[in-house]
Amino acid sequence: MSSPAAAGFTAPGPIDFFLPDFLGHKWDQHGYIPVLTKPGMLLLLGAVLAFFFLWYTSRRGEVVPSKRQFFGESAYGFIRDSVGRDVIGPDFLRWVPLLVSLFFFIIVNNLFGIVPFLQFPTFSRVNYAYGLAALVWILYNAVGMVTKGPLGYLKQVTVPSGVPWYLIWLVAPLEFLSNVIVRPITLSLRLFANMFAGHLLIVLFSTGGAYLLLHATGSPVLKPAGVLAYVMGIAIGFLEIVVATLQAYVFTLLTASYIAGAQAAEH
Amino acid sequence: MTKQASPGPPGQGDQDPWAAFGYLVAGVAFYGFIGWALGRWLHMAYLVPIGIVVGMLFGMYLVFARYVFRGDGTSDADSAATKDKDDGSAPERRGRDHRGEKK
Repeated sequence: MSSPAAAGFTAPGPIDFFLPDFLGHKWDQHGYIPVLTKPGMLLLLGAVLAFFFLWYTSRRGEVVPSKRQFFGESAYGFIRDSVGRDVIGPDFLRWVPLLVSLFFFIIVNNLFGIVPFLQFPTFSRVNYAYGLAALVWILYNAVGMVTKGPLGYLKQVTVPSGVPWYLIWLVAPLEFLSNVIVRPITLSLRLFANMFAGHLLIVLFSTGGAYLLLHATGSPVLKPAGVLAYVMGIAIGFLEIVVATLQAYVFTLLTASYIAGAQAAEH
Repeated sequence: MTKQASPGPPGQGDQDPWAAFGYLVAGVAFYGFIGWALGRWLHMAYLVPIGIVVGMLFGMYLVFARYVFRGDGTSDADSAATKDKDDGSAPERRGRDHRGEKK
C-alpha cells in the first residue's frame, strides 16, 4: 500500500505544537524565550480580551439593559447561578469574580484555536494548563486550611467518611492521593488534552487536504478526498467551538466544586 | 422558603464525578508501588500485579463508600440538615443579593 501520496506527506504530530519564539530560536535551541512565543502572546491577549469583554458589557449598567449589557450579564449570570450558587452554596458571592474571570479567560484562550490568523489554542501547550491548575490547587488547599486549620484540613483530605475504622488506615493514602495529587493532574490534563486533540485534528485535515489537492498523484479519487478532508476540517472547527466552551465550563465547575469541598463543614 | 430548581441541595461540594477516577488511579499507583517495593525487597516479582489488583479493589471500595453506601442513609440526613440551616438565614440573604445584582 505504499502509494506515492503516503510517501511525500508528513503527518502532523506533537512537535508541530513547539513553535519557535519570535527571535527565531527553536524550542530546543540555546536562547529560546518561552514568553516570546505565539502561545505566550496569546495568553496575554486572552487576559486582555477577557477583561475587555467584561468591562465593555458592564461599563454602563442600566436598569433596562442594552443588547450588549444583556449579553454580558447573561454569561455572567450563568456562571454565577449555575456554577457559583448551585455548587458552592450560601457563601458563593465572594467566589463569583474568580469563577467568572476563570471562565472567560479559558474560553477566550480556547477559542483562539479557531480564530483565523491566531489559530492556536493556548492550552494545547500543557504547561499553561499546569499553571492554571496549580493556581486552583493552591487556592482550594489554602481555603481548606484557613477554614479548618491545617490539621483539620489534613484530616478531611485523608480520612474518608463512611468507612469503618479497621479499613481507614488502608484507604487513607488513597483518599489523600486522590484529593491532593490526582485532582490537579486531571484538571490540567483534561483541558490540555481536549485542546491538543482538537487542534491536531484541524492541522491534520488542513495539511492533509492541501497535500491531497495539490501534490498527490496516482489516483483520480485523491483530489475529491482532499475536498472531503477540508469539509471535515471545517466540521471539526465547529465542533471545537463546542469543546472550547465546554472545557472552560468544566474547568470552572470543578474549581467551584473543589472550593466547596474545602469549605464544607463535614463531607 | 425559596425553592431551588437545581437537583439536590446546593453547596454540597461533593459533585465531582472525577473523584471516582482519582480513587482508582490512586489505588493502583499506591498499592502497585508497595507491591513493587515489597517484590524488590523479598524477590517476589509477582507482588506487583497483586498490589495493583488490591489497590484497584480498595479504590473501588472508596468509590462505593462515597457514592453508593451513603446515597440513601446519610446523604438524606445531610440534605435535611442543610435545609434546616438554610431556612435560618441563607435564603433571605441569597434573595436580597440577587435583587441587588439584577439592577
